[in-house]
Amino acid sequence: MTLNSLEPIPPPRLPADPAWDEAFMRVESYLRAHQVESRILLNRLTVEIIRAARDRVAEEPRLAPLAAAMNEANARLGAWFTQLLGEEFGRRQRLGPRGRLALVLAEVSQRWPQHFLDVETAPPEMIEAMRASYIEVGPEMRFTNMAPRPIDLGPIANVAGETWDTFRRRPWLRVMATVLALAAVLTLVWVGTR
Amino acid sequence: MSPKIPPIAWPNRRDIAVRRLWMAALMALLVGLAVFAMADLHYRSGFDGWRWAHLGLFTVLFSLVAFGTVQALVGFVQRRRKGGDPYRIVATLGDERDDEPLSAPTAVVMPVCNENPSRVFEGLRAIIESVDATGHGGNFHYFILSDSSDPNRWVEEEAAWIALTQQLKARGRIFYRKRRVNTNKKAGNMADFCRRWGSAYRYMVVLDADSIMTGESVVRLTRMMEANNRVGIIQTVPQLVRGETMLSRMQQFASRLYGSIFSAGLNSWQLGEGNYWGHNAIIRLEPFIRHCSLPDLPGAEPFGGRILSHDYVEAALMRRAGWAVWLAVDQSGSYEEGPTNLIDFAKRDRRWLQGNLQHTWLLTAKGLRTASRLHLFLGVMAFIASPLWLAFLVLSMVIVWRFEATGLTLLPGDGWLSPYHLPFGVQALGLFIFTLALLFLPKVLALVDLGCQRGAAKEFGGWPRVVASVVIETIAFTLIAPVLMLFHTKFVALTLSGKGVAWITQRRGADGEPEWREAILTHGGQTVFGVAWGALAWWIQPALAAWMSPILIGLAAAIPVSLLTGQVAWGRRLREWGLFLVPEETNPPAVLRDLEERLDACRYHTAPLPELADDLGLMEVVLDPYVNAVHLALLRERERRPTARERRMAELGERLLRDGPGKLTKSEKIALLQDDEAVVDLHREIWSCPTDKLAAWWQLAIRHYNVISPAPPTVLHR
Repeated sequence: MTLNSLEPIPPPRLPADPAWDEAFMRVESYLRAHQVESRILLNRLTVEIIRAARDRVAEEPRLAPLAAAMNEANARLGAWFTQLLGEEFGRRQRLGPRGRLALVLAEVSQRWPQHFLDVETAPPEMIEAMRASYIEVGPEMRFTNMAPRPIDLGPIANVAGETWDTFRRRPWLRVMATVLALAAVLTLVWVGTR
Repeated sequence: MSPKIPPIAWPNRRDIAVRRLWMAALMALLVGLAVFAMADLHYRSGFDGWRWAHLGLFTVLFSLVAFGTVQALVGFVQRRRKGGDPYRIVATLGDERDDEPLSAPTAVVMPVCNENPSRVFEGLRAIIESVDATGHGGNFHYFILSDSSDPNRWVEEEAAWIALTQQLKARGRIFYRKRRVNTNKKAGNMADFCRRWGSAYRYMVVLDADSIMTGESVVRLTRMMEANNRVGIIQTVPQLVRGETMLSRMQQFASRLYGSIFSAGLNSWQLGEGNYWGHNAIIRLEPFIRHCSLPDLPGAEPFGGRILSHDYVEAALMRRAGWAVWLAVDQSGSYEEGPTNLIDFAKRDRRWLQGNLQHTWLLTAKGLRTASRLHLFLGVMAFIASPLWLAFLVLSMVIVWRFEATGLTLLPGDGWLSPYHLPFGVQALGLFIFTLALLFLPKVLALVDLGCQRGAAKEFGGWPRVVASVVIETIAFTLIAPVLMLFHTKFVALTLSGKGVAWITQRRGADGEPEWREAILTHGGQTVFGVAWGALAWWIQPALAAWMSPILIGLAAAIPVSLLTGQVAWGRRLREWGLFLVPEETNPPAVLRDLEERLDACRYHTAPLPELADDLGLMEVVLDPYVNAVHLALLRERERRPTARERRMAELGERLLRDGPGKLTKSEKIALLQDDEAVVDLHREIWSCPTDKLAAWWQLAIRHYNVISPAPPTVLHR
């Protein structure tokens, strides 16, 4: 069904229960998070989902209205994705995220906003765009070995490196060397300034 | 081992040797004169150990000054000679080549790490559109190589990448890769790219997160590589742009005005033995992969271990393998941004300093070319000069103090310059003026160079404003120089003692300006040091304090100078007055204009509520069905989670929803975002969870999506 073929919707007969109000608001917000901006479409889809959830709660009274409504919303989205993208797609894990990815990559909310959750008259181009959508994080990998080449740092740096390692292993030696170096500097200053 | 490649025929060795000998001779002359005059002063007043040390430091410091001046002088001559320097890599291309098709697969890579995604991706968009406008867009692939550790930045990058790819219809041309473990920082990030995809491309254009390059410059760099098959790296000279604060505007003005003659002079002696500055450069991938993987240094960080400043070393290794490295002077269309305030400036220097000090290990490495050693040495000296300058000043004070302590009047004897009968004071003043002349000569030469180009001064705002800008910039940097001297000295000492620098957490205003508290905590010690130093100098001899006053005033005024130069309002006011203008502002290239317009639009589109701004990315990945799906698609799917991990993720997820993101640490948020099951569960649970069970932060976030609110902001559509 599309916006153009909308039948007048009978006013919803919802009980004045804050839990259902909350469920209504949440479902509506969730659909809007899918970038459904048409108030008419939002309202119609939300009412349909809430009605179905009410029926479900009537069968299972222990089910909370919000949980039932969101289960219904997710079930509808899942069924829609399966229908549009095929049974094979529906058998895969994580139907919801994969379907949503197809929606975003095919830019459904911008190009076909009136066909969101449209089961009957979804345009073929939209279905094709959704089926062709995939994420490519990089071209085909062609692994290359990039191993560090050894570098001879030369005699001075090599001696310094070995000394550094020795000092790290023997802290007492480092302290002694520091004291000796300080003493040498002070001696030099003393000799130089006399 | 790789096959030995034949020697480079252009430029010929004789020309290289002649140029370098000329420069060395000129420098020796200047240094010789100054050292002789200083030595004579010491000789006349009686040499002792203090004076020998003073002369030694003077020689080192004056050599650095003279090197810069000679480089500027040679650069000025090269720019002014008819036809310019014949040895420029840009001269290997003729204009007639611009229409020829390109068939060299080239990757444009942009390593990022927690930078503002809007700036990163809008910058990349401007570059891609500019490259596409040249008609050679098909030759280039773009890679965003993320090492971001901030969970929000990570999510925003993913969403921005998807949005950019879709808006430019560039799927299969723009790629995003996020590393889970940031081994070896930026060098490791680049090496990871080379290992995965490097062999698929002939060249790699390396950008920084704030780099901008015009399409023309990217295409011309590729052509230069194609025309010179012995060249391994071509580095451009990026111009600083988009400065808003006084400091960043002064930097961009100075680099734009004086940079031309310095880079011409640099190219004049280094020729095909140039350096690589890490970005805004093109690299030939095959030799890079083969020769430029970095070895570890002896010891541990900060002085040893993994090489931090990889660029200089990569250039040296490229040269060691026989490939030329050029600086593309006169290639326009390459831009970057500078630090906005003095504290950020010092932070950047601290990173560079640590990296450059590591290069000391490589100065005597076998197989490196002399020019490469010189680049490494100059990099080390750029920072070591600060403690040497401080030591020189301290020694100057000691010498005066020792003389004052004798209570004698100065009766200097005859010196080596006695035939000229120069009084002691006149000779000292002459040496001081000579030093100042060398320091300011590059500025004068740059102004003359500007005057020689018809209409160029107008692009800087006209002559009166250019001169005023030069004067203000000179005064400001004279005050800032001693502050940087103390910063560098502290960083050198801490690095050598094996300690990192503990930075005060930055507290920024809305425009990224430093705040009073931050400035006081950072510069308070320098101010006290400056005041104490001034008092000591005054006590020793008032004239000494007067001589040192530029340094002492700079230190004493560090806090207000840091605050003033970091203010956006001041920067804008200076721009309104036409000061520190650069040609990129008076006549902005399309690529910069587009970037500004896009960033303005971005600020409008993606401005979140202030309460939610700190965790916007996390909010979107949990709440937004599309951002959630994109993030999941980019995560590696785990087959089965161990039970302990499952429990931890469940506990973290519960805390996130119940207490809000403010109660989780960064690593806890990252752990959640790296777990695909957790991301699926969070999205499902938050939308099914009763409002009263959610943290107030999430309640506010969900209200974004209610129909009575305006359209929710999303980082997906920019």
